[in-house]
Amino acid sequence: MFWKKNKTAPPPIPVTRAATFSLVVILVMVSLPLVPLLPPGILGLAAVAVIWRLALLRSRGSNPGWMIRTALVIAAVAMIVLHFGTLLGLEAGAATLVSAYTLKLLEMRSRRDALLLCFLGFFVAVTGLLFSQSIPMTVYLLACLVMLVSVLVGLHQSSEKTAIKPVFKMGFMMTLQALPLMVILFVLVPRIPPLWLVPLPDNSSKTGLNDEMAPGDIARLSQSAELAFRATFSGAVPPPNERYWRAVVMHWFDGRRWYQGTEDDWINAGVDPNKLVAWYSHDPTWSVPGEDEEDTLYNYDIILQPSGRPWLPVLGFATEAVDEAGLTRDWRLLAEDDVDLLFQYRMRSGQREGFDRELPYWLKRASLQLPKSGNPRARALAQELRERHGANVSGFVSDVLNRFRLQEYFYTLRPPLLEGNRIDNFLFDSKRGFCAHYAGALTFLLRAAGIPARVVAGYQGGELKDGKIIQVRQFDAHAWVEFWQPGYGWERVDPTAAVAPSRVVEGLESAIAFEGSFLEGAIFSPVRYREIGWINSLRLQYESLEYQWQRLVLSYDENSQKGLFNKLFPGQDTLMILTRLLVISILVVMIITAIVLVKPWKRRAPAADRYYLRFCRKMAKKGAPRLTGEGPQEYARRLSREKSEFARQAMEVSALYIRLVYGKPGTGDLRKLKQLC
Amino acid sequence: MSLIDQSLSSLAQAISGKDQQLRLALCCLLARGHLLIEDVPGMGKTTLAQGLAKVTGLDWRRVQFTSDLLPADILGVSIYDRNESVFRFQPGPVFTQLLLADEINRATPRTQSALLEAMEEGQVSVEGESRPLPDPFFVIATRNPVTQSGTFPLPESQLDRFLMRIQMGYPDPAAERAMLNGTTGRAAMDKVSAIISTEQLQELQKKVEQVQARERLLDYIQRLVAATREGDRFVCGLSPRASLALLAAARAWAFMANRDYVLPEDVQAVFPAVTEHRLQSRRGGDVKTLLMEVDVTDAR
Repeated sequence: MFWKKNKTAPPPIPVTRAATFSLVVILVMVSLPLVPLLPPGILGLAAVAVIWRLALLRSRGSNPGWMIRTALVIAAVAMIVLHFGTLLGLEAGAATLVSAYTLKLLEMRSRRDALLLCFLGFFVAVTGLLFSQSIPMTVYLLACLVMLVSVLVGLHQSSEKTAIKPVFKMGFMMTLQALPLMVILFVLVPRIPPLWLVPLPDNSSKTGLNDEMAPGDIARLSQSAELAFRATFSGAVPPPNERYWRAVVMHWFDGRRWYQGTEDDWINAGVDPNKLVAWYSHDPTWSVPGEDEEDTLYNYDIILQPSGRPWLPVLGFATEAVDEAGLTRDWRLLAEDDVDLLFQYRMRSGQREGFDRELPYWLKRASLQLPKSGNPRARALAQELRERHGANVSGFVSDVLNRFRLQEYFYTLRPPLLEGNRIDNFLFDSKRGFCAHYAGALTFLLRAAGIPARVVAGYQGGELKDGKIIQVRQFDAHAWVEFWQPGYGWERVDPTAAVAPSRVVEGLESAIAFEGSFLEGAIFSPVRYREIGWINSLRLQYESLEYQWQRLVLSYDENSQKGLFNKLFPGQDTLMILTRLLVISILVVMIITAIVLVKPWKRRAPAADRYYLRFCRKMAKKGAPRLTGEGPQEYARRLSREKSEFARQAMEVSALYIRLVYGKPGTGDLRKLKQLC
Repeated sequence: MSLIDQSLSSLAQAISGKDQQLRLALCCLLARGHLLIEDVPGMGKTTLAQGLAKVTGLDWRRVQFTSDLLPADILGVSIYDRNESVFRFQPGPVFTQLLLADEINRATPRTQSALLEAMEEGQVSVEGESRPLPDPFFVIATRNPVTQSGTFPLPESQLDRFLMRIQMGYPDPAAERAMLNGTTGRAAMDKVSAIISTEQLQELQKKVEQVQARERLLDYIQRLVAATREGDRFVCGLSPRASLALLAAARAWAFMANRDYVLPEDVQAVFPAVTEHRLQSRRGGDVKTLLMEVDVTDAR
């Protein structure tokens, strides 16, 4: 505080050591989820503040003077601005909040400061939810909440009280009592979009599919057992070798990497990039083939984990858009925005092929695009095969696949680094690679022979649970090839299936079992220990819990709220219903609280007590409250000493009260007491 | 000047600066309870006991407890009379109105329990025959803190039989100077005269029992006792015997203040002396804190 204290103000109430220590613990607890995004400087600052506070607690050192405090504030602001370029925004805001919180801890003197720290603690704790809404995080933050409530309870109790256990018990009970209210508010408060719009964390650094593919990208993904999405099927479930989840299609190759193509690339190819996507409820500018009766159609719901990218994986070719997403010209789903929260969508797709029986000229151009030079040996091989098979594209493809199958090609997560003419080096020298190498090489060969082809990246496989849920993890990331034949359309071919059939049928783990590189960077991932029965069953149970959590809690948004209440109260305005229910619930909670507080079933205090307590309250307002455990006689004596102007009244009141309650009451005593109080 | 005030001022001639302890000791006597005085040696425990005996004019005896004292040394023993060829019971020092059991915790538990049974039952059983003790029967036991060498701890069950435990504490400088000058202390014991006769004492004890304790006060006592039982401040809460003791002591205290009804303040005044020796404190357990946390009224 820089301003001068009012002289008549009562002296600040000191904070007990236990409370101070708890506040330090809470600070560390609630800031912990934010640590990964704090600049190192702020972490250092926080560590200094915490250590200083602990030293003060052990009576070492002295409180920081205003010069030091000012310097710390300036340092914190400078570090945040240097690191984020701003003090506002989500990450920078969180950093500002944490530094303000720690600096306040350092300068805490009175109970008032401690209360402020508690409220800041609540705020910081909630901030943690912006960055992760998983079950462990929620449980952890609930624990923080119990701590915070307990410390609030402790701060409001007399400083003589040193027992810590009852305080925490009370904090726990209070949090428990708040839970029903929390559920009511969660279900009933209308999810009106602008109110619930919070800035979202930037997920761009998350592991996940990229819009370009350089050899090695997918190998990197294969080290992560993080969940990518869950698909819940109603009806038939595809067999493992049909589980190809398309997410990204790459048409362009620059000699080193495959990529989706920039707007300029498409304009150069001769098409307006805006026409490549048909957003939801807009009809595509291209023709979509109708359903084929012989095709098996799969119906499924997908809950996609936040990926920071817009693609929505779909089994096979997508033919229709979903809400907040669009259908692309290459038969994929594309979200309007990057997926930074859980994204849920319902799809219906089949295994049918033969899309694009006619290929527009610009798409043909894009599907044949190759760098002007480079990889001469691969080009020569393509020419040779082309001459051998002529127009027989299938023969061409199976010849290449046979080459992969019969020659010394290996499927490995640890391919050698390729330089220069990468396709040549891979095809003729190293012959070792991951799915990306094979897909890239096959596409190159096809294009070099004049057959339109493209690389598709997505996920292949997934773990089937309960017979209807397929869980797909990042290590299921995969790349394969689609090539085009006149009159037939696009056809999928997976060169990896030729070199390592087990990758497609049994998954990555068995395909690379021989080299032991499955999840080698993630020794703590429970997925790695699938062979151990109890770990696996624990993992599966936790995952189904997590699934319910995501389905019921995290994806409870405006739409599901509307859906739920439309089902419960059909034909009525949801907002109206919600408001009414909310008001009713709050009234009910208030009535219950009032009943619990007033306790009407308890006998009413006898009249003498009521008058006496009224007198005590009056005296408390004059600055001399009756202490807990202070008897009437003692209180009267103290009042006569401290507030001599009330001495007579106090003595009379106490004498009457004592006679009425403890001694032998005289007639008219009660009336007299009533008059005096 | 009432008998009680006279006794107190007479006692104060020998033991100066210890008014609170003297009041509590007298209160204990009026409530028909036994008194335990605990402190390091040389703090005037024995002097207090002697003074109390003198001022009440009770017939008193003193037993110095040592580690080789046997139950028979206290209770008495039958001795063969050759002339009449019968065993004749020779009563021990316990057959007296006021027994000063000095340094009780220097004796073995066996001997201690012989005395403690007498305290509770008001009679002793020797050689299969119950022999009643005189009335009033009042025991003042002194005890050294357990940390002193050569002591046996008194078990909790036996501590419970003492109505009160008081501690002497060091005298203030003025009182100590008076003692050095020889105007107080054991040297001045002669000045203490018998103020209360045995009959008067019995009458006072009867009057104490008639002191009124109304519902609200009993509520308060029950709340205090309950507070010692719940939570984990104490290893074990107060027994029902302790609540009875608390009420009896509070009655005597109210009587000493010339009141015929008990106030919460009376309970509070005797609460530490009555309960401290019965409660084994844990972390954060303190009977004085308890008094500040339990309100005298539970009305809102």
